[in-house]
Amino acid sequence: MAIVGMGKMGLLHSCIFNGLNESKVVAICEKDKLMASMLNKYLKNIRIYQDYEKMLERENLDGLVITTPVYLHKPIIDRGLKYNLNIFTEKPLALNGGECRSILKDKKNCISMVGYCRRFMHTFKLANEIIESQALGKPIYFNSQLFVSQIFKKGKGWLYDPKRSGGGVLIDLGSHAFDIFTYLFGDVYSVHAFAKATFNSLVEDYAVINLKFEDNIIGSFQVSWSIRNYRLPELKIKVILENGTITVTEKYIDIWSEFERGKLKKGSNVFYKQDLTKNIAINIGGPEYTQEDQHFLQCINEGKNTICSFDEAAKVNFIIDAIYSSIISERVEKVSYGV
Amino acid sequence: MIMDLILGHNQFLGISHISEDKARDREKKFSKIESIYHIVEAAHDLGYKGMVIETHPRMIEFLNYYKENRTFDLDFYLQVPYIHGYIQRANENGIGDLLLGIINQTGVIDAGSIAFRSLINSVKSDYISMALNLLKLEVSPFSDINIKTLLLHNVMTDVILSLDMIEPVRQYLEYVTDELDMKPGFITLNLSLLKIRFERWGISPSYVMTPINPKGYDMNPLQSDVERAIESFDTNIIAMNIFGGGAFSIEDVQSYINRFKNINACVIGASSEENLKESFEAFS
Repeated sequence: MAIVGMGKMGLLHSCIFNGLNESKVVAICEKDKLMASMLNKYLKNIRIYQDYEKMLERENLDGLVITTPVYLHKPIIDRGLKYNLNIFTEKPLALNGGECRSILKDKKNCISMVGYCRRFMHTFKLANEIIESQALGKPIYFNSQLFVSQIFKKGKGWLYDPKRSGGGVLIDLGSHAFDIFTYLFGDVYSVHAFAKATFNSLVEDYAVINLKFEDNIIGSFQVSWSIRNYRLPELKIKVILENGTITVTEKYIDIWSEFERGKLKKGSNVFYKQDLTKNIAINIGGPEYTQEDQHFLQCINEGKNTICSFDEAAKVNFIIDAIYSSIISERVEKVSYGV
Repeated sequence: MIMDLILGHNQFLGISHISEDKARDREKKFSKIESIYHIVEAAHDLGYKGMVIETHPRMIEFLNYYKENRTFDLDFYLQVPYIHGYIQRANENGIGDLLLGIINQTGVIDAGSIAFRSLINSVKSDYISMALNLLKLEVSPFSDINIKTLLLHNVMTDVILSLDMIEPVRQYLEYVTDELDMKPGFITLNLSLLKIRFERWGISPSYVMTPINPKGYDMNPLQSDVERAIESFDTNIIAMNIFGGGAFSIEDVQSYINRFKNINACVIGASSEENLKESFEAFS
C-alpha cells in the first residue's frame, strides 16, 4: 500500500495498513518538507516521497490510499487510475458531483472505496440489519442531527475555502450522515435546505435539511460544527417504523419494538458499542477504521466491489449538490444521480 | 493478590463511553472543581490508592485546587501527551500556535529563554528530542505531586507499535527515567502486539495500562490472546475500561477480573460516592 498525505487520517491509515498481517505500507508521500524528513528518519522500511507522481511511477503497488485535502482527491485518483491501482480515498470522494461524474467515467475496473467509516460502526450496522429485515416493518419517518463543538471563530486553511473543501459543514461533517441515510433508507429523491455562515463568511456553519426518499420515507436533518458541549461528533437518528422505533448513535442503539420478535423483546432493547464490537485486529483510532481498511483489502483479494465504492460514495456528492442548489433557490430540488 | 483501585478521570472531563447525553450530564455535574475534589477525597477515604490524571486544562485546574486545599495524599498516574487538545489546536491554528500554547500553558519559560530557543532548534534537527522537550514542559506543572508513573497515551503507543518504531520508545524510556526521574509506562489498546514488539526490542516497561473486561471490548486482536499476554507479562498491569463505561454489570466484571493473578491495579471511573463504594466492595 502507499499513502498520499500524512495528516491525521494519513497517519491513522498508515498505522492500520502497516499493523495488519495482510498488508504492508511500502511508500508514503508527504509534501511538507519537515514532515517528510521526519518520516524518512524514523520509518526505516517505508520509502518517503514528496511527489506522488514520482511515487506512482516507481512503486509497484496493490493499493493507493488518498488522505489529502479534498481538492487534491480527483487529480490523485486520476493519476492512480492510469496505473490501474485499487484506490481508497478519504471522504468526500471529490469537491462536487461534476468531479465525481468524471471519476466514475474513468474508473474502469479498479476496486474503489471512500472512507465513510460509520458504515463500519456496529450500531449503524445493526440499524441497517433491522431495517433491511423489516423486523419492525417499513421505515416511515426519521429525524436526525449531527453536531460537534469545533468551530467558534474564523478558521485558517483549506477547510474554510469552498474551492478547496467543496463547502462547509454540509460536506465536511454532513457527508457522513448523507452516506448513512443512503445506507439505511436508499436513494434521496429531493431536498429542501437552509444554511447559515456565522464564523466563516465563505462556508456554512449550520444547516437544516428536509429529505424525501425514493421509497417515500421522509426525514429531517440538522448539522453543525459550532454547537457547544459536543466534545465528539455525534450523529443521532430516530427512525419511526411501522412496528417500532430505532434510536441510533455511534455509541448505542435503542430498538423499541411493539411486540416480541426473534431476539427482540417487546419494548426497549438497548445495545452499546461495547456489546457489539470485538476481535479487532488492531485498534488505533477506533475499530471502524480497522474494519473499513480490512474490507478494502478483502475486496481487493476477492475482486469484488466495496460497500462504499466510488459509485456509492458519489451519491453523497450528488445529494450535497442538490442541497446547495436548494439553499440558493430556496426551493425543493431533485437529486440528480445521472452519470 | 489484592488489587489497588485507581480513580479514573474521564468522568470529570465530561466523557462517557456509552452516550454523549450522559457525557453532557457529567460535564454539568463536575462543572465546579470542588465537586471533582469531593469525589477524589471520598475515593481516598474509602481506600483508593491513586488517580489517573492528564494535562487537560481542567485537570490542571483540579491539580491547583488540590495543591492549595490538600487534605489527603494520593499517587497520580499521569497520562501524556494531551492528544485531543493538540490535534484540535493544530487543526485550528497550525503547529506554531500549538507549540506556543503548550509553552504558555506551562508558564515556566518565555519566548526569549534558553529553553525556548533549545526547543525551536530541536524542531529543525531531532524530532524525538523536540517531542521530549515538549513532554518536559507538559509535565512541569506536576513536579510537586507524587507521580507513580508517566503513561504514554494509547494513540502514541499504538502508532509506535504499528509502525514498528523502536527508537522513539528507547529514547522515551531513557528520558523519563533519567531526565524526569519518573517510571515510564504505556497505555495500549493492542496489548498482544505491545508484548510481541517489546520482547523483540528487549524492552521491559514498568507499567502497562490496557482494557480488560468480560466482553473482550478493546482486548485486541482476540480476548484469548490478551488473556495469555496478561498471564505471561512481567510488568505491572493496570486494567482499564473494566466496566465498558457502564455497559457491563458489576457482577460480570468482578468475576472476570478476579480470575487474573497478574493484574496489579484497576481503574474505576466512578462519578458518585455510591459508585466508588460499590466498586471498592467488589474488588477488596
